Amino acid sequence: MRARRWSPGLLLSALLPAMVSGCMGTMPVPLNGLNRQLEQAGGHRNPSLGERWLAVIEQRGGREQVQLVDLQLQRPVPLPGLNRADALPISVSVDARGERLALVRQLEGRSEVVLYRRALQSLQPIAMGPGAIATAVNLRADGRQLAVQVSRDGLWQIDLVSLP
Amino acid sequence: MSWNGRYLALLLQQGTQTIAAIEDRLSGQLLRLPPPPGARIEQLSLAPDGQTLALQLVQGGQQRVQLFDLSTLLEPDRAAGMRSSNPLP
Repeated sequence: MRARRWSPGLLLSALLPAMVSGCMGTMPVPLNGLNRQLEQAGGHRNPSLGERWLAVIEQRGGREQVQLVDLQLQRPVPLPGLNRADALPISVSVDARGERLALVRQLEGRSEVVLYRRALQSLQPIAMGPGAIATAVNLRADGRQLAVQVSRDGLWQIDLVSLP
Repeated sequence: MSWNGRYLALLLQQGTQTIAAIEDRLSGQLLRLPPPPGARIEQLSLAPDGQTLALQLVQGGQQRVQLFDLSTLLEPDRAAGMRSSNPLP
């Protein structure tokens, strides 16, 4: 039997497709359709993912507002009563079911934390105590606990808030 | 963090570059996700089941959000008691 000799070039060309496909297999796949839609709608920041939901702050026409996108249907859903023309959203977070959204917003020069329930279309203020300036929120996937990043007496702190 | 804390999504500084990473606390593996060319990663969010990742990027002075499917890379980390197979007919 004759042994086959592989030149380095031949070896590389034989292995390259497998190497490339191996690399491709370890990279995440961009969701091109949704990404295109988001890009066409304007700038976005502060993403928060539920299981089939994306909450995001959309920048359009010099205004910023909270948007909730149904990733399965690939379209935004209405959030009546959440966005106000005189409020500036700072941070948003959504639970896994897309039912609850927590929001830090600036209103009349002060930051406030609110909890929005989609089924009820209700907005509930979350008290943060004196001297606390909320800057970011993160809602637990089941929507029952909220982590709030606050600045208090010059220190960054995380407050945990239980939600009924 | 995913539902049961299996996956932890984080931003890491590597030299001058910020990369996204997902740590699988079950296997100890770290999945590194560099930014798309010409973009800088500012923030990230991992879906509770670990199947989708959102990155906030800055590119050309504009902030944008890009979504990535992780279902070929990570097993789902579902909420306790959630059915993972189709129900019987």
